[in-house]
Amino acid sequence: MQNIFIFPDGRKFALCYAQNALGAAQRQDTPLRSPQDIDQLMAYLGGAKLAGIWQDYYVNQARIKIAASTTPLSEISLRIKTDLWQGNLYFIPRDDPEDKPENIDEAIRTARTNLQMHLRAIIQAEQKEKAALEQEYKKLNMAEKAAVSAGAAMTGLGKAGKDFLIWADNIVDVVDINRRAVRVVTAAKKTYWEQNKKTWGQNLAEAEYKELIEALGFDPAKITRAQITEALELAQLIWDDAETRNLLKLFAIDYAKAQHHTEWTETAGSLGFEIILTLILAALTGGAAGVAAAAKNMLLIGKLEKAGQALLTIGKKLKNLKVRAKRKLISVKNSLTSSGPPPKSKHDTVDEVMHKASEKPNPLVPETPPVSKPQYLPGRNESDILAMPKGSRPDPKTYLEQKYIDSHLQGFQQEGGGFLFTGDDIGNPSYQSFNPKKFVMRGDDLSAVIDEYKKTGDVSILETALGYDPGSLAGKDIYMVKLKDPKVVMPTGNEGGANSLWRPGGLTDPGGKREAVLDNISINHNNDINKMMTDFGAERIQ
Amino acid sequence: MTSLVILENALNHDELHQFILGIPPYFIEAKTDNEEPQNVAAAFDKYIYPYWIATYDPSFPQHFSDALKNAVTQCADKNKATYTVLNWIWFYLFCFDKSQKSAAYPGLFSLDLTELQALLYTQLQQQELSLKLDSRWAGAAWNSPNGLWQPITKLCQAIERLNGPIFLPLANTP
Repeated sequence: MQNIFIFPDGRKFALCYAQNALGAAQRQDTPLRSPQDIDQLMAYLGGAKLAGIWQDYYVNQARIKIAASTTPLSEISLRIKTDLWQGNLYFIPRDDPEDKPENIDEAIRTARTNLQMHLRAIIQAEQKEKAALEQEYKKLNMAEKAAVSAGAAMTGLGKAGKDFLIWADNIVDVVDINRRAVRVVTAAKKTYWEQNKKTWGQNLAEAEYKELIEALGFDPAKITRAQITEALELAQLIWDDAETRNLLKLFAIDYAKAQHHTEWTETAGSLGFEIILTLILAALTGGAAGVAAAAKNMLLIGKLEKAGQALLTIGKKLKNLKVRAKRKLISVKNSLTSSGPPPKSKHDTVDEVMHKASEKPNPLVPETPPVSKPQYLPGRNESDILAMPKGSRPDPKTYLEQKYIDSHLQGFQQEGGGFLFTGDDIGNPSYQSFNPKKFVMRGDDLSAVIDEYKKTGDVSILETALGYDPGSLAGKDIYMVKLKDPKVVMPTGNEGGANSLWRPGGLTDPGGKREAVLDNISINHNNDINKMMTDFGAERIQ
Repeated sequence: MTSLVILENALNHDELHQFILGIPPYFIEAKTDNEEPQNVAAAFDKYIYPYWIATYDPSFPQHFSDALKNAVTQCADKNKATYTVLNWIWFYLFCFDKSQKSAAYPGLFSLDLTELQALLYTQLQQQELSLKLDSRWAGAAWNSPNGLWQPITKLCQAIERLNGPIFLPLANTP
């Protein structure tokens, strides 16, 4: 007999009954680590759920002789509590197939594609409207054209489009509030299991909610505190997802261009977070019901809502991934401190593990030397560079500190560089050599990844560290080439190999490994692996 | 099946030829060193073959073949269409060859390339000069002395070695 229970943190567990008590071991991956946790769980389950458990696991299954539908709730509660603590009744994590990491990744990718399609539809519609407006403009006489220039006309669709950007820009004014709210919400969630959760719920959101809706101009009756909280949380998660973030930034720029208000183009590139929040709110509030009424962009909201739905899917899946990552940390911590006393609560466990993970080597992550973050020149940042289309990105010297560049490149002289490739990579007859501006990883970073891979044989370590899609290296012949003192330069992001994962500053994303590009060095493979082995010392690693 | 949504969208909207050509939102990003109109290997491995294995839709090979033809006939950028479609043909035959000789790509569909052969044979004759002047993608100066022409002839030769159609008369190969 199994029932699925969704815990307050979103995790799913199946409840099972064991004839012989399984002890504390069965509580390892659940929030049940102390008597206080059990008390909190009992409170969460409440009378109705406890009665259901009693009926399903005791009465129907005849677990104990005294079990009867008429048993008082106090007795039911005591019995279930005892069985939970002793391990007769226990929870095991239960993932839906769609919650498996690989499926979550796929779902995110799919949602990104849907998002891209909806955004494309918005842009196309805007371009069509722009063309129609231009046709109208051509029909105007000189005096009317002058009035248009003075801003007296050209309202309607064009205005609605512009309003969207104005409104998104207005959100910038409260973005600090957003960030503050996100931080507070995150912190408050950690206290979910603690006694003051109601205090948080009452005290925090009242002030933030009021301030935010006033600043955004929402009709308070149309949007709930829960929606604002959820929107902020999901927006922050999506903002942290570089691929989706870039997609939306580019959309903002394309959108601005489609308005024929070119002065917006520059501003639009910095509206990433605000646009995410706008779209999510549009989706959460059912579009016109909440956002549009106050945001002046009625004509757009239907389209925005569809894009918002795709964005919501991404946000929710990212949330799933975050929960899984925390769970994985807990299991690592358990393996490190299996003999230690049980922590006080689930969230204590998470925090403790995160703290410990930074102190002890994490067996899941290859050890690499410390990497410094890119140091930008004053007034420059990653977002500025990423907002520029590939092909037009500037020389890194114009936005990075020279000493950072020097130190980064010097590392390649000292530690060498290298790269991995597959048999298929050199099989394409269109190319007889690698790109002379090929990305290479710093020698010690590459060695650390390879060592870890060799220890475990888990090809996903290579995929994660090197930015390949999950599963894309499985079953492939993989080779490594190491280059001593390679002539390299800082990547500009204009290279053929720079895709949406590229970040300014010479660090891979994900993975944070140091990378540079060959300075027009030709490595000729002639579609022949033997040539690579002979001429460049390629070593087969899988 | 969620992973195949992009391809399913293309099929449902009769835009498989756009998927072939990598027209957004059908461009499939991949970790490669070189910019391409479409990352054919990734698109095939992540979408075309998995879709075939998941559905065994008997009409799919014909759809695929039609999409290759439509890409050649409908794309205004003839060089891009020729280069991309030849890349698809080569990669398909590369995989088909593997499926015949190893455990890779089991059950891969077979494709009738007869009509495409006639189409591309003519197109290559007409576009030779334009292809030689085109330095996009594999036609970059670091990779070819004569634009896309050399990579295309290499593709055609590789296709012949894989028992595929002959797209170029001998006189045209370098």
